[in-house]
Amino acid sequence: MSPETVADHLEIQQVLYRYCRGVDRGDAALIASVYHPDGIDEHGPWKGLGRDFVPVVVKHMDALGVIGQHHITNVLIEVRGNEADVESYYIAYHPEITADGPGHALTCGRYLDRFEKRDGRWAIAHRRVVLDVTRARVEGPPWPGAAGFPAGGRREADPSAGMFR
Amino acid sequence: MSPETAAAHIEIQQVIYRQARGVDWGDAAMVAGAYHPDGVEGHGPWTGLGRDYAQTVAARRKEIEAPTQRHVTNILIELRGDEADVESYYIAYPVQVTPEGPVRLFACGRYLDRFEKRDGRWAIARRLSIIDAHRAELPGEPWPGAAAFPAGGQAV
Repeated sequence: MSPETVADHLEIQQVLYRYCRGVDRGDAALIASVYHPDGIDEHGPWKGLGRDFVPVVVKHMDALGVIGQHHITNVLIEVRGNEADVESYYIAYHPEITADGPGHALTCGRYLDRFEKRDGRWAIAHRRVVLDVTRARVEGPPWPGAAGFPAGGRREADPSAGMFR
Repeated sequence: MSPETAAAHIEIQQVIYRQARGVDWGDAAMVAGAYHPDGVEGHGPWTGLGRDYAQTVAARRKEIEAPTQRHVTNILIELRGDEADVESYYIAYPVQVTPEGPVRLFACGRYLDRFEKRDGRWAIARRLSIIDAHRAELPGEPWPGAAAFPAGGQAV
């Protein structure tokens, strides 16, 4: 593998991680940065331009008042010049408010992405979200010891505010 | 880290991800491609050639309709020339067929791999699959919202 291809792999991975940070932290600009201007996201019931998806997801998750996590695990990448097929497994502890109150759904699936490198920048040209394993609610009470740790938040309310500027 | 070592890391990671995709997708050729011809898989009660494991696991996959997933997280790699010790953590949601029907399990463990580079290709010379934490069933009901998303399938 050439140094250029190694760099492609790492750059694409970072885009995937930025998407997760953007969604979990509610950072609209960060989420928008992962799509090309004409990039499409087929996100379950929502389909359209990735950039139009941004305000929808930020507003929706701001309203929940629950912090979740999107973990990217396996990232299988096939680079062909300035295009790449990318399959990324994810595990999400997805904020949900149900009749039982605030909590998390467990949603595990894959992002099926077509990445394109334009003007030296790798970004998503097309994303399709697949769900493989889900549970409506992660069961059990919160761990009491968590009170001794800083909790995650949205934007300025998160301990990482000020990083990655 | 030299560019060559960086390339080896990425190539080894991709082999591990392809093996996982092959198992989840029931693609025997994709699984087999992760092993050297004489590469061995030690998979609990099953030990044998990786290529034979590929056939076994793909055939077993066809008995199950639901998607499966094995997520590979931490991948610790120690290179020594054309050999590498690799420890990969995983979180898996397999399905077991029981007399009562298919049951979704939960298992966390590690793949202890010896990788070798032969003829320019990194592949598994020996894998030992370890289970560290597990539950007989992933509790709870599926998330209702999942109906609006495409679900995973498998190789035809």
